[in-house]
Amino acid sequence: MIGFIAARLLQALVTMWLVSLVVFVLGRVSGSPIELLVPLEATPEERQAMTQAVGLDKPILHQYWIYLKDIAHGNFGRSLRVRRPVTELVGRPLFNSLRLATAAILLSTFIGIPLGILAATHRGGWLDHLARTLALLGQSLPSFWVGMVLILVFAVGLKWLPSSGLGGPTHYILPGIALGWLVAASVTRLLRSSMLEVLDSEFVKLARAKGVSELGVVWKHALRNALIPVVTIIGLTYGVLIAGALTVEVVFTWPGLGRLAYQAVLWRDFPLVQLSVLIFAAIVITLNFIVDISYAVLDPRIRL
Amino acid sequence: MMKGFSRLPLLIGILATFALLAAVACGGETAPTPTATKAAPAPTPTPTGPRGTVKVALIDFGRERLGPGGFGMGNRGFGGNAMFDPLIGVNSDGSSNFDNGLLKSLDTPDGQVYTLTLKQGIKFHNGTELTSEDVRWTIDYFVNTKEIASTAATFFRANLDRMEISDKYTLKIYLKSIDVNFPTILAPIENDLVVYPKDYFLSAGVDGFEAKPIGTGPFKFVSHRLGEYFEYVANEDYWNPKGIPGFKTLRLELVPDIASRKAKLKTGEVDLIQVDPKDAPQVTQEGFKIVGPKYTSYPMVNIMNSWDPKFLTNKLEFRKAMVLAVDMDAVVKAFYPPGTGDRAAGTPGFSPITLGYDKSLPPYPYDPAESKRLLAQIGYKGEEVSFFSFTFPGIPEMPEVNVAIANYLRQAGFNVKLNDVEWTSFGWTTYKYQPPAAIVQSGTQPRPSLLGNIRVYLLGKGDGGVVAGHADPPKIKEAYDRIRKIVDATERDKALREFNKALYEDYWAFPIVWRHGVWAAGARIADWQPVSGTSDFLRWNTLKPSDKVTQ
Repeated sequence: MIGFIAARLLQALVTMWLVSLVVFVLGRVSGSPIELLVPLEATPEERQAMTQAVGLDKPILHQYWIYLKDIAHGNFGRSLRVRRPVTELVGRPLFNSLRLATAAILLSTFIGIPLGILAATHRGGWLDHLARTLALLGQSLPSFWVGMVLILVFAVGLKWLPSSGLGGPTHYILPGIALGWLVAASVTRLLRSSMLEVLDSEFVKLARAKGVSELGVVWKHALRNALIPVVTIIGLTYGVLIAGALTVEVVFTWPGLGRLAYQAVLWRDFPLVQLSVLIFAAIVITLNFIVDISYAVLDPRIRL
Repeated sequence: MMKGFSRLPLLIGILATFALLAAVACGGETAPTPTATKAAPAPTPTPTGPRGTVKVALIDFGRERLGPGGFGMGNRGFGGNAMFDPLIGVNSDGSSNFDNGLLKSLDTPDGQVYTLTLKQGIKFHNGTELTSEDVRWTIDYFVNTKEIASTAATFFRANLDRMEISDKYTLKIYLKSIDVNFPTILAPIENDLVVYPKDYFLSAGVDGFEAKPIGTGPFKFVSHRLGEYFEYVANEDYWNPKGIPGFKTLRLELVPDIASRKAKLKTGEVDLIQVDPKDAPQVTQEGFKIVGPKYTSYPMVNIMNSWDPKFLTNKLEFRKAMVLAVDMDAVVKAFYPPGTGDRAAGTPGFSPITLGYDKSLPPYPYDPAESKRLLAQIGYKGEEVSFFSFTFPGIPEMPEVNVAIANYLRQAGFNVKLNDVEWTSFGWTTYKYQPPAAIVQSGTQPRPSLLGNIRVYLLGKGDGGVVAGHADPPKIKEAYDRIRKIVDATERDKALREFNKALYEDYWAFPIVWRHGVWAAGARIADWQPVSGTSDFLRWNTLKPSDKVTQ
């Protein structure tokens, strides 16, 4: 176990370093933010002064070396746009993204698990077809499009829910559905196939033969086993949702880290882009790690 | 189907979902229920003074800072004109009005030494009085702080000789040379200078000021959440009683996506949004008012490097052929519904709000036959014309407009390669254009004095220009150096009119449209008086609540 953890930590550090290097270099070769930071009539001297002020006058690798030294001291740089330390800027948006991802996971679990069970226990019936159709739609419709349709129907048309922004519980529903439908689809399909496999296993047949009710067979025996891969996928997807909610955050004007990173990309705000991507990478790596560990804890057959 | 299996999971899921929706429906606003028929109560008199909250959805917050250098021309909407006042005020048609500004008077005997006299008794939001030392310190801070990039900073760095305080309300500014354009530096249409409180700023520091900024303006800062909103409250002690806001609270929200902005307007979550020109008819049909400042930008296609003989664009016939090849009337009609923009006429750069405008100069005609004849005359062999197209802030429709223009050019025989580029990475004023020909779209600020635009767009790079858009740099330099020294405004207007006529046949650019700011207002807004000639000096204090706003 200790060896496993050590190996994963090393792997995580290497991955984070590679991510930082790729983002650092790609950002700088894609263009300069100076045109956004100076007025049109700025003189060449002013452009040069601004370039020096934001540290972009040095060779890229030299800039990267300075960046790594600064990170070692906990300094991730100042936003080129708002001129504040980027570590001050990401906290609240990250929390907002976590909130949205959590809402999406809860909604998708709430919807996906019952649908998956129904699909498996009514194989070939209309419930099965309905569940699989909903799952297919969830996996094929782009989340930003789903979001826009939800806004048009439930906010603009019916006026049941707010159209966008952060606020009370009602503000979570539409973006949660837009973001979580894909996860619900995966949960539904995975649980269905997992349940079908488990329901056909010997120990379930034995349980039926012993007179356990169908409800008991499904809930007490089959579901607990069938949920193992589902828990894994939910855990892995949670990190992806936090990092991948950008389009939903933009459509719903949700002030999350994805939207902040998007604005930072538009402004070529390199320090903020770099920290945002590092945070996303760290979240995905950490959650993967936790899922691997919990998988071993849940299933004694798995040895690390 | 499993024998004996109950549909319990389905029932649990459905019931829970409906419970959630029911909670939502019950928690939300309910439709008003009809009351029994009885005599309507006497109407409550509309309260005087600022009332209610107005919410505006903005496309972006620019640099999102209120301290010095935090905003500049083009991105002041989030607060630069809520909390601060210009030194010289403006009317809604863009003309100067000292009543609305901090200055009581501005005098100059020679166009080189200017005496600024402040109104007395103007207070910052913390109660301290505005003095000439605040003005002097602000200009000094802008000049000497390298991290500040703004139109005002650029001007003063290049032109300021020294400043002298005469008394508590009087400041003398000595320029390095005559510059009759200096008054425009103090007004908001062509410049972004606002006055900061010296003592407060020095005690609070840069970050402290950003956390709790103060100005002299009609609104006071309340709160700011990065990437989300700015909130202000009406300054009921505002020094200019006519400028006290109509709304008690102003909330500016960041909503970059057009679909989200329109949804928020339709649901009533916001009261005022910016829309694209093409949305104006639909929004009007849905019952919203189209409002906004006029002549906010002047999209045109710039012909680059025409001063360079290696470029085909150095030839007048080539430039003229390009301009005549495009049916600009049809282009403008297709992309700019009535009220959102007018076909630009006359010499590019001149408009009804600029000095030197001559309405006798017609729009360039559409004459593809003449265009083809000119191309044949110069022996054009189909060399590639690079057309750089990008989404410019404030004019998102330009890529589609450029496609239409490119198609007209191709029909006339030009070999156009349309390059979609990203504005920030492209850097259109510093890009190294290659022969044989290059054209670029831009969105010019109208700049009524015109001298700023002559310097930026026409003057050669060696003479201090930025775009260097004219084929004859010495001609431009001679005219610019002469006109900028004419102190008398009437004479200057006359000189610019002659300059206008002289440039008309040079075909230095494709004028497209005099674009207006297109905003959609909901029923809670009765009136708004933004300032024409600029896209971002929006005078939020002139938003007036309708009868639907009672408190």
